[in-house]
Amino acid sequence: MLSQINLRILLACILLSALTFPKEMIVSQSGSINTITKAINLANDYDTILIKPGQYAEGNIIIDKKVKIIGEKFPLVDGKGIGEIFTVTSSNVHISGLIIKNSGISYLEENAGIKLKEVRNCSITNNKFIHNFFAVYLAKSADCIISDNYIEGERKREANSGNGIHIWYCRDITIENNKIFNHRDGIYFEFVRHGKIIDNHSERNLRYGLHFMFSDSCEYTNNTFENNGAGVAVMYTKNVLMYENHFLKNWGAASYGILLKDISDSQIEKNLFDENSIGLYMEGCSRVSIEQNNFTKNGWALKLMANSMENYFFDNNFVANSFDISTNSRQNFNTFEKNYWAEYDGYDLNKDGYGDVPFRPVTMFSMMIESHPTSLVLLHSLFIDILNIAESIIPAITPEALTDAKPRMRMVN
Amino acid sequence: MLKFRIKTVLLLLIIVILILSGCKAGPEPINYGHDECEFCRMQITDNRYGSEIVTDKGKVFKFDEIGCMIEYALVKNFIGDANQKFLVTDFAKPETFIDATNAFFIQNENFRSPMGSNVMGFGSEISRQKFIAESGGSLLNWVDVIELVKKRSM
Repeated sequence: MLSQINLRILLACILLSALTFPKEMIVSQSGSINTITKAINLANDYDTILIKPGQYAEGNIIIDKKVKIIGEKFPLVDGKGIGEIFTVTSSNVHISGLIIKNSGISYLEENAGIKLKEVRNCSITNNKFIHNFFAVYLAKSADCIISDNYIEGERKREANSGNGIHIWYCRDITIENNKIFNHRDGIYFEFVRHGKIIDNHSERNLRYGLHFMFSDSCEYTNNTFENNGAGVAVMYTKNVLMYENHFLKNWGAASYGILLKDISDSQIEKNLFDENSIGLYMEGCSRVSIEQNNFTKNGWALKLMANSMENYFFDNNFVANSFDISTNSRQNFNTFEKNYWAEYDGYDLNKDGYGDVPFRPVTMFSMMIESHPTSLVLLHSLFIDILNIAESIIPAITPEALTDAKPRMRMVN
Repeated sequence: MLKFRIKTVLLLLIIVILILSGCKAGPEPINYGHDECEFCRMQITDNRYGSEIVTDKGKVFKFDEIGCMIEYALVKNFIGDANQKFLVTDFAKPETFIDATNAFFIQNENFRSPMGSNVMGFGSEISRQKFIAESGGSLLNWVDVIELVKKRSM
């Protein structure tokens, strides 16, 4: 008797589970469900939609259910250059394994390969985005992950080109291990809280590799930003952590490894600035600590503007830069200590590892160029060398207080 | 002797004219994708929002949008100074400058300007009304825009 009831309960459970448990739907061009839109219409929350190889051009696909969309062997979803491809309006949506191509260029709409609006707990992983206007676009969302995607734009003019990963008004977003090429800005952050940008590679974008504004308490670590039109811009933000990134080969009249504008209480540590026109440009920054970075082969390793105060420069290496530091002010309210300067030619007679006389990283010539940029033609002339030496002995126009009292004799590893 | 003098005078005249013509103060077109905003230091890319100040000394400052231009002008005390010329782009005709003080403005949050003030300038009331009819937004004049930027920067 008892076992019979048990059996009935068990049967009921199995039946119930068959009805409500997530099911898997298969989209294939030859099958009964031949479009993604159809599959989404038929799906319930928490279903999985498996897309077989093939080409799907369905215009705008709206995902308004909690579904997982998985591509098998990278099926192609083509926007044909008109409008948006995926618009996600439901939380808990996961998209992976697709090639998403050709979202439409528009001056009025920010058409994306995948746009997520007001959602939570979504993930976009392991997709290929080719020639989209914007590739991934997140607005007013939280707790989402964008990882392992390959994103390539068309590199047209800035106005005809959108951003690779565009995040606007979001919190707790993780961007990890993506490769982004040829967009306007590789990664764009505006009004983001607690965002993490880790292990990404952003190269040959028209404007910035990373464009970061009004985004407090965010972190970016171990990314490479290479050969972008204007480098990386980090602006109007508090509490940013920038660790172990590589800023490489950003050449041009207004190109920066990092452009820091109005940044406070932040950390820049263990980064490499190599072959940039200007490695690090700081304007209106305060209480930023810059430690253990390598500045090598830049035009200017550091440009420190007059309105920057209480910044700390410790344990950095400055090697083979045309100018180590340039500034437009005679005052200095920043601290430099224990950095290694390849230009330093003092001795260490007491053998404590630090030079016996302070180092003045700002040369007279760099001050001259600040006010008269055209005088750059005199670079490496004998006349300039004499001026620089005279100035280093009797400082007249260089900021007197801008010195490193304990310059290292050996590089920091 | 006289001939020589005439020659030198002519030569001097030509030089003076050349120098003066070089000094002529006037708006300079923005090289989109290359020029840098004087205030926020960003590269200027969106050709519907570029703005410019031409000072009484003939100096030209370029901005990526009107918000940056006004913030810069506030810092430099240019606002209210009739000798400084303010220019904004006509949203309806990208890359064409119009006088900012007499322009017609719209703020619409759906049209994101580079630094987020979301203000667009129009050269005529007709083109502004056309935009309003299509996309909406609030109407502003030059003074309203200044007040708006002041509020934002506080």
